[in-house]
Amino acid sequence: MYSRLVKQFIGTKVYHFEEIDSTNDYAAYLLSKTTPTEGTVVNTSYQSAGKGQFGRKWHVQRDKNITLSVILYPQIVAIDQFLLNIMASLAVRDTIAQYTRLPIEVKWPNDVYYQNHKLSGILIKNFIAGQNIGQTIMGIGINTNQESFPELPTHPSSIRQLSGQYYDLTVVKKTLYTQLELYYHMLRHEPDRLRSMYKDHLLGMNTHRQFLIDDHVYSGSIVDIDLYGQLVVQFSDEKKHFSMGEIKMIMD
Amino acid sequence: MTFKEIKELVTLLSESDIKEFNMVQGDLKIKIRTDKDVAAPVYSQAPVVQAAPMAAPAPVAAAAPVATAAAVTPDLPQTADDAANANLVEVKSPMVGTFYRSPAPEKPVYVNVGDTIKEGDVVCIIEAMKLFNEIESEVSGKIVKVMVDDASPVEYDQVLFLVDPNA
Repeated sequence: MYSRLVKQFIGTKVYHFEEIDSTNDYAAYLLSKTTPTEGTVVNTSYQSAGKGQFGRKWHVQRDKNITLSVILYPQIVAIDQFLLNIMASLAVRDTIAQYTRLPIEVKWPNDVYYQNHKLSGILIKNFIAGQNIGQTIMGIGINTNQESFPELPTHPSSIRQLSGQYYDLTVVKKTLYTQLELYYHMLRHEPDRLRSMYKDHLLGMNTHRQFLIDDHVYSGSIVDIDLYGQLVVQFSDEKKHFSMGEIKMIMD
Repeated sequence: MTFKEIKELVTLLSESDIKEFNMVQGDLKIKIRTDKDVAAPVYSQAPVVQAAPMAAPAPVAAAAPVATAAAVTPDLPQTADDAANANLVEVKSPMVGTFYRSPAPEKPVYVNVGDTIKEGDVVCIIEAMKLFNEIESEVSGKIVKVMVDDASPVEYDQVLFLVDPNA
């Protein structure tokens, strides 16, 4: 709703590339050379060196998907950085949900899933001086019109595969920008509401699941996300907080 | 008791007012003492220069002498105009996460001991929950020591680098 009151700023200035190695890297280059307007987007039809975490290859076809980076100046304290993961994943979730009409969920920390199918990739880079996040590059990939994917443990899928429809990428991007702005506003003014919305859409929240911890399987349920973004899991006898890499929820 | 649990215990105690903690669990005995009355260490320049020559590429050997120097001279007067007493500045971690010295495994490190940096230069990455944070130095100067090993976990406010602002 907020976004209707305020002039949209994300995507007002767009750098488009038919092909580029990494939109995040180009955004970083822009930040090193100039002071781009907040909300500047670096967009590409094909990211040749796009990477997931630890350089995992991202299997995307040319012209079929949304691949972009947004430049933001959040000015929040570094310890609140998880709000950026929340903002990005909720905006991506809403966008996919709007076009598929399916119960799309966020998988901690920042993936977006339908059941056991991964639909997006988010890679956020912050620049921190002292205690504050001065600049953020929010890299977002959404599998949109791609019809087939290689066999991967994450069972990738796309909006097209889930809905059977083909979408105008420009229109889907507009939806994404609107949702990003909505949650960016919340990040600054109502962070607790943003945290609570994240839990409302969190995959596995308050449901009995199996988790992999130090190569052992444990049963438990996610009961909370703490202020640092750690996963809080209730086991039969105790409740524990986990950082990324310490725990893995077992997917089918 | 796992190493992680011991670490959590230490963190918990350091945040509390407890000065001494003893615990016995089977064969395991743990005694933790905190030294809360000591002021934040102030590093003197002279012993560090001695211990870690600027040109030395491997800073490892300098670890002990620096720590000792800090411990024995906690109240060194801060006279900014006196070059001999110039203090080193600590670059600290603004969050809990994993410390990386280079942007990617195959890429060169951001800074080495002896490098001159400017305010705003990126000195390392701290990764937390899939967020990659490039940490910028707030001071200009020369890197005197790298306090953390690559790819190791860091706590909030942990010292990452020592910088000599007058070099």
